[in-house]
Amino acid sequence: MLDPDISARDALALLSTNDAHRLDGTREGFNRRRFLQMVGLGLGGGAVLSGLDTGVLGQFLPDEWRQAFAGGPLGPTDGVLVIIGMYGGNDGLNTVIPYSNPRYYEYRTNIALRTTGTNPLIPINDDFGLHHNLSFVKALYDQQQVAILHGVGYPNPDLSHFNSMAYWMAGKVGGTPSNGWIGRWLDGIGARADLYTAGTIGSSLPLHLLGQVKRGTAIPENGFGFGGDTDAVQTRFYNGIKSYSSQSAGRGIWHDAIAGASRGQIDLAQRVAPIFEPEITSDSLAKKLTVAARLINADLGFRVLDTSLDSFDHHSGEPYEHGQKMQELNDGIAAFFATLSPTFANRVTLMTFSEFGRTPWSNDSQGTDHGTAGAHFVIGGNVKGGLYGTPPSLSSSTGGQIERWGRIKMTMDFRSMYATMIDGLLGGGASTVLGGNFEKIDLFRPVGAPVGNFPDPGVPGSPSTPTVPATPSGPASFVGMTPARLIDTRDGGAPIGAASSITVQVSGGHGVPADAVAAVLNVTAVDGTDPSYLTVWPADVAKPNTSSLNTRGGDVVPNLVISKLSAAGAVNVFNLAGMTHCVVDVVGYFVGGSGSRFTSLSPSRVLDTRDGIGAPATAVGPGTSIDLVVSGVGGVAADADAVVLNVTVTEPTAAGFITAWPAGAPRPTASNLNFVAGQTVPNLVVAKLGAGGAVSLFNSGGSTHLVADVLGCFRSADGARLIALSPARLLDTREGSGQAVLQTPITLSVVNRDGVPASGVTGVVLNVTATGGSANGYVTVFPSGEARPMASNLNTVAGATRANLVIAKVGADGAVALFNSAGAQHLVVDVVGYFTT
Amino acid sequence: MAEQAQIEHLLRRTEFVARPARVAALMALSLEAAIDDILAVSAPPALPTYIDHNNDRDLDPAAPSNWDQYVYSLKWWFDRMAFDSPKPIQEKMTLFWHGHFTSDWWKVYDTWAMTSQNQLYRVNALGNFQTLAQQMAIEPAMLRYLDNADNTKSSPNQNFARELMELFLLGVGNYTEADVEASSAAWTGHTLDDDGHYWFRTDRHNNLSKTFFAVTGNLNGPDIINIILDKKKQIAARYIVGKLWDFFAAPGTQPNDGLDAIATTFASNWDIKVALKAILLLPEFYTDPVKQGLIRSPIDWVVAVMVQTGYRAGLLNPQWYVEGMGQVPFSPPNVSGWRPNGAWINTSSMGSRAEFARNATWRLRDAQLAQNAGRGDMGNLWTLPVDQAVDTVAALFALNPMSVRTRTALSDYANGERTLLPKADRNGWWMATNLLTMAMIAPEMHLA
Repeated sequence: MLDPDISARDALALLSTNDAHRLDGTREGFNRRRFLQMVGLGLGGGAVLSGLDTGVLGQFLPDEWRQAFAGGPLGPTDGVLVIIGMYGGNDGLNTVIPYSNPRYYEYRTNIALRTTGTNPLIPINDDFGLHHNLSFVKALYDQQQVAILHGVGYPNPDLSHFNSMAYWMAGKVGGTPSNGWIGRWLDGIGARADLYTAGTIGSSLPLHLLGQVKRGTAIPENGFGFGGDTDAVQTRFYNGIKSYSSQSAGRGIWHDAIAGASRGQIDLAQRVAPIFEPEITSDSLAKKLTVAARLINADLGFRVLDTSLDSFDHHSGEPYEHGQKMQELNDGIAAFFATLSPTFANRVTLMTFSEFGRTPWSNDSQGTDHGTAGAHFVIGGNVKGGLYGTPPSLSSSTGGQIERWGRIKMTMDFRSMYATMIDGLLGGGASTVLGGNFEKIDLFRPVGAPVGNFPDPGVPGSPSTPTVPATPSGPASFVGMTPARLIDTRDGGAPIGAASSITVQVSGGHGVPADAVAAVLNVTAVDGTDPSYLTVWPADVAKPNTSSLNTRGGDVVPNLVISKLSAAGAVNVFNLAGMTHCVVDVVGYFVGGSGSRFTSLSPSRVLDTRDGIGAPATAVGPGTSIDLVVSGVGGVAADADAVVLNVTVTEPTAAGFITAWPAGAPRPTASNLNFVAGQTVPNLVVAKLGAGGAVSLFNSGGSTHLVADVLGCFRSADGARLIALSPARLLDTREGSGQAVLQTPITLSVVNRDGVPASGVTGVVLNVTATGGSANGYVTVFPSGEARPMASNLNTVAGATRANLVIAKVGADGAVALFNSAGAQHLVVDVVGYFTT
Repeated sequence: MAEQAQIEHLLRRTEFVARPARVAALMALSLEAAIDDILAVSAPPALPTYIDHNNDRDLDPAAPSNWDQYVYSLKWWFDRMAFDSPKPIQEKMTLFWHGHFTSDWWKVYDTWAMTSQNQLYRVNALGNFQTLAQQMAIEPAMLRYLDNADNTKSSPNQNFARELMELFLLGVGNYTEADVEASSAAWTGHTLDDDGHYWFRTDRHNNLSKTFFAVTGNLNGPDIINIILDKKKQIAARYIVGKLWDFFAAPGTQPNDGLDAIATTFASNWDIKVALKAILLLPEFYTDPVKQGLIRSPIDWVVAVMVQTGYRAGLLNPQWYVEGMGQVPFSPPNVSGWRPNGAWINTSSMGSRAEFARNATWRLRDAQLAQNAGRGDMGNLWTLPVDQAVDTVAALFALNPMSVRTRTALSDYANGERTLLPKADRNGWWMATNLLTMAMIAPEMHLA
């Protein structure tokens, strides 16, 4: 905190009134921090909030806070603005030097930069040159990627650092502003603004990133001191802190808001942590801009990143001091472009600003004093390089010298520069943000257009293009296997972004043959940022409007998925909103020809550790496993080689997961269902039988009871074969009349539609989702026309969305019945395949 | 006999923390007697000599620098809030007045002036409001902060004159621009001498007749305060009583009938202690919206951590952490002081609180330091059954009553570590460390 004051005695002498008291040296203290504090900032002291101002606070309210962490990849035409603030008043005349103008040398006898001598300026044309330390900027200029804007300032200039900076930050002139131009842009984009939209590299938030409702994010240049570690030990600890907000504590809004803010802090720290590796060894602006470039490369969604370089207030010793600053600016810009991925290079733009330029006359201390307008840079792959605007005159209105304390006149309103950025790069809204129409400068190529040496950006995470129409697989037999992990995006991969897909190769490895036509997968969404769903479908057809599992965000949700494979043996996994990690395990596959066939059984309870069914009447301890003999039990044939179980965890004392695998085989890295303390969670499990006709069930977490119902088995001798389909939605009670399901079973015809034939269907494979329910209960799917069994396929929780795979026998009328045990519940049913003799 | 929950709430709001010994002592009393005990402050000691003199090195080359004095004063005040005041309400009220009649070190740029102002607020913390307001107006720090030192008859500066009404005494809407001009004229000439002490310069004072709130005459600055507190006494009294309620109870929960009545009394005697006592006796002070409605400011939270760990500022160095949390003593964001509640909650500030908690946690794990603080080494948490470990950290940080959600989170974390690390002698330290940090940043700990 609190650096000792950076002296600006001379500045204050000039700023002061004629009252001698101001000159006593005790009232200095203008530095960047000071500006921020005076305009009502300083972290968290931010003046926008009082009482229950839910506008900003809304980010942290229990039902809404998740929205705040969306992040996610940029669209291919989304521009990114990187701001470089030069605090203290940069001397524009010694940055972009009017070297052909004799007045320049008349005014600046002791600090003028020249084309000759030891450090000659770098000419860019016959009239102007760059400071000799801006060699990289010159190189970019030569590639036509640097726009130089002449004479940028604001009308009726006030020579105060504070007021001038306040106006520049605000994007409005006059008054004492309480918000800034980027902040109001955030306000304007509404729900799309989140923690990952605008950020400053530093620990306090400058005024320009503060809106009336929204605010930017502060990212310390060395990463967060807390929350950023990603090793397993710390992650468990952070997850513990995050779990303070897993549900309302019932202690009022502030309690929940605090918990949500802590969660947000860790979310942010963890999300940005990877970009701080490897360590950034540079310092000053180069470090901040390296952080900015890495944040862009990480594609977290940032549209605006803000950096700063201070101590430009060169009232004395300017040749050396300003030279240092120009070197830092040049090195920073070089570091930025050295770091920025080519993927983004044609839609990222750097922009400089400063509160004012300096006097045309130098003073006797080889310095310059507070001035007015100055030249600024706009740099990027999509910038049309060149000089823009009118250079301010260095002569008086009568053509003579500007008087000793005269200033140059601005020729471009700073809001023209802002309007150009907002409308040209940030998607529009300049007139609203700036409170008026300001002339825009035609300096951009279309955002995202290919330019220079940079390749076209790809669309991140785009799925492979659909190439074949959706067709059912041939009749296929089942082969169970020891589960194998196909992908875990946490291991070196990127999470799946919003409205994005990944392609997962299933066949041809992991023991799945190349001719497999469908697979039984256990798909898990992990630590999603938002409420969302995943859809799994064959990789070579268009995405269907179905879903495979639902996540609230911040949780771990698995579901069994049976999916047809593409011709190449792959599936796509689509994520609707936010970002989520994804784990896919394969537990079996279907192939044409010989193999196991499915026999549907009336549900039968084969395990209940609460009652001593199938295992001793004791909870399964942490880190232990039990062997459940299924062969010959509950209707399972003695020669069965795999079973379909609905496994339910209940009364767990701590979070963990369950793995099912063939008894006698080594325990694989896989999981079938995940739970937290106190939860009751089911999942459908297809398990190959191992030694003794048994399935091993491993519990990773606290002690828990396990319940298993057997729903069917696979055997070679007899049974039905699976026809896998591209998923199709059969029912959505939210549509049409919108009637929720009460305690009267509804009938759903499943044959002769959506790829399921009219006859020969013995069972269907459905993904059933319950959503928007009013009560906790369960859903049972059973053959239409038969008595409802005492079994459950899915446990419902009021207000939550839950999905489970269901293998259901079809009634004589070609339909299945769905029963909801409590309250009103919406049900969504997708079909993914059927069994046929 | 007061109820324990009532006393704990009362103490958290008035003494930063409900120290167990204080809870026990006050529970033996009636609620009114308990409040009397809390408010029974005596005159504070003089400021330490290190900060209590002008840091003019021309006069005294050996004087500590302004900056060193500033850092010292921050630590000194934190210690005073946490440990050194026999009645912490005196410091709590000093903090209230600092946020109300505020000034900023970065503008005043003189630690002596800032701490002198701070001491004025301490001495008058529960005294007479009119006296306090008069002295506040001519404190060097205020004269500098709101530019009245530059307010002369030839070049009026309205900064102080305006804020005196807008923020200090009445609230916006209770005066006209003409009143601001008259007040500004009356305050001309109240400035500082070369040593930075108050100096009324008659040569700079506007001696013409002014009309302020319908009073006409050659008004001087102090007359303005007296006229405001006479002509608009009910508005001023209600304004201050409301701010006290927001500070001690919760913003947005003002019980109008009760506070109006208290304001009427306050307007008749300007006795701060009487008004605060009446506020603390209002039944609404003990309802859920109030109990659940106030977030500990960074200063409040840091002081709570200091009290509950027993570690002083010299060890924990809170002055290096509070800026990130958003509240540095002597450095409010602007003349209106600090905003409550939502202003304290954002990702960066929560990260800074967590960093400070981490810092304190490592100290807690130091056996020798723990012994010095009269407490067992928290490293033994690992050897306790989980429920007992959770109870221990909850008691240490007074997370009572603890929500089920928080208990579940702490227990789940501890259980999870046990499960993964079944050998008690191996790596248990991190479970103990993290459990302490988790408790220190639990939502209950951030709520006042």
